[in-house]
Amino acid sequence: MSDAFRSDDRARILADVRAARVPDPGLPDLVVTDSAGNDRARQFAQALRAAGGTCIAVPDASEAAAAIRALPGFDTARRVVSELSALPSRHPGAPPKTPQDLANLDFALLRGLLGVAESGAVWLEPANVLLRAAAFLASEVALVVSHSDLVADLHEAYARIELGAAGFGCFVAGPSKTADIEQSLVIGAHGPRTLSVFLVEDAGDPRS
Amino acid sequence: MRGHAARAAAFVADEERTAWHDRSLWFVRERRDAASREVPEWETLRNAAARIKRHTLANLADHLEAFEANARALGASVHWARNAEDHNEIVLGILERHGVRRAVKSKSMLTEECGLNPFLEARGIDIVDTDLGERIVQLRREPPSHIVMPAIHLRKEEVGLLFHRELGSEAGLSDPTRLTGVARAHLRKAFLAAEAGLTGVNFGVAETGGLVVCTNEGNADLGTALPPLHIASMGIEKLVPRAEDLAVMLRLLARSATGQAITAYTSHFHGPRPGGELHIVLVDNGRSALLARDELADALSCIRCGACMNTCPVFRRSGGHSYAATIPGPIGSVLEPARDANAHASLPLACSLCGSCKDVCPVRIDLPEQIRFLRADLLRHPTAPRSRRLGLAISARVLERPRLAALLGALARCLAPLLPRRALGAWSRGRELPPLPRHSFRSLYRRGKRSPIDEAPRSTIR
Ligand code: SF4
Repeated sequence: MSDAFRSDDRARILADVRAARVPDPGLPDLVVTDSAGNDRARQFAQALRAAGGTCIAVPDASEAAAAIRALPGFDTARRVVSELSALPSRHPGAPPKTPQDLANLDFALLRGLLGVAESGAVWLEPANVLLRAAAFLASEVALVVSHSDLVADLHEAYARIELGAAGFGCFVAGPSKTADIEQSLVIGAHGPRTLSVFLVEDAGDPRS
Repeated sequence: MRGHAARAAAFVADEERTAWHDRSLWFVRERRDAASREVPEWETLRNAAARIKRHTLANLADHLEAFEANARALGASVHWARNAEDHNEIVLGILERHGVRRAVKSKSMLTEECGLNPFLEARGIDIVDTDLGERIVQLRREPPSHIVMPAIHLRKEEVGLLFHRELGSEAGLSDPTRLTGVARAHLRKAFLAAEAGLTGVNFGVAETGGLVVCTNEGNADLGTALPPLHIASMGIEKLVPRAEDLAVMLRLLARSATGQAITAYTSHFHGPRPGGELHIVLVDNGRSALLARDELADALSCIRCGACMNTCPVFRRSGGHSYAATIPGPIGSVLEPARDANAHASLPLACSLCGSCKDVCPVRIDLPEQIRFLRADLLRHPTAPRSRRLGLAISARVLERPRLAALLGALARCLAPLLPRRALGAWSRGRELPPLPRHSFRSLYRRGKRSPIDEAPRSTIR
């Protein structure tokens, strides 16, 4: 079909929408939650546990790396995609070029930019397509988040995120799950069967 | 034409399944209640969400233009479809230009509404639904029975049988974990082979030109992380104006849907990925017409959480398929007859007007009022069941005449207990007629007026 035809459709839809008169109540004020007294780290850990993930508090970045090394199966894992400089990626044979090359990925180690205390969600902005695919393909996902990057709720989170600056961003709360068969919760519907979040007290640069 | 009641009869014939379906959904409703109670500002959020959506609808054309401009600036292609056929043609065109034979699709009620799967299959494109529940119903060649839990009508043994037949899993499997494992392996292959990823859209953000997609399985994320071509189908009502509005919507959505604080994955797409393409198909398909109907336009605020279905006493007991509509339940009983009054004439009648849906709706759509409005509208329609039209016409005549109403009331109090049960039809099934009061409300009221303290309460107790 020609583009001219399509642009008619656009004009027609917009005209139809404009013709409808809907009263405008105006946008609401921003919702502000009183969260001053909250223990964010505790709330975050609780919410993450409810979502099927695990939160592990560590004093600094090197302890985070040590704790990741101690994760079950990490030692012997053949395929690891890592954004953390202390823990290099591993891949047998040629380095992966496409997301499909990560098909049997064991571990993804990624940096979380924000943690949302209320829901246990971590905001990721994977820097390239391989890191992005790794977050959803790996059987085990470990995220490193700085304690000072915990926010109370999504209102605070969106106030800090520059939405659109990264082409892709995602709140991750727990491993992949489904309850589509008789409402029975099953972890690991597609990718991640575990999600561990390492909350670094004294971050410095959590990547180092 | 078979209406909702006739189709529901088929579902409730299996009493055990009906009871189980009812319990399962009520359980989800209770989880929603618990989740909402954990948020002290819950009602504030609902008010804010209602206003955000109403404001968006009131200025929809402007927001659509802003969204389109911002999405284009990010490198996305934006297409406009007036109806389902146009939508399907546009998607097919994109797939054909890329020579796509195999595609994966995450949950999208809009593509169900447009009948995209059969359309693409007929043109030789292998399209695999990747949400577990949707894959199950796709393999069964039936539509989803619920917008959030597409296979909620099925028992695990039925899924085991299906997977044995379609996916070659071992016979007799019924453990949900092992069945999910079978689907995981099967779908992983589809993900890796896919040349395009199709998704729905939960929210579009006008000021950024971005899309938000929520899943628990991570299937939309996998489907768009692997192949470089992403096609997102989106109803024109899906916008919110600003990024911060997402906070309000997302805090409500998962809690209302399943009782989770947030879904496992909430992906935000702004433009295509490096080296890839993002196509956004904006679909009207009756939405602008609905927007023009003052009494019903609010229904376009719906964020498809499914809470109204989980709480609905009719839905819980009659099953989603009894609605024979893409969107079932209370919101479907508004949207579907508004779209096609002939095909869905019986849906506004599948409601007790109990109001429970309105109490749980995160965007405060007045569903009972809209259903009542549609009911009045539809009963004037020639396809409405004759018995209903006749019944209402008689009631109207009687209630206009107080003397006649009193006379018939007195007669009914004497005669109803003597009626053979069959005369009461379905109402007598599984129920007894309660003992009828000896006096009419009117006579009690009149006496109550004379001696409000003594007499009225005593006569009601007796
Ligand atoms: S009408 Fe309200 S409760 Fe029902 S699905 Fe839509 S948003 Fe949810």
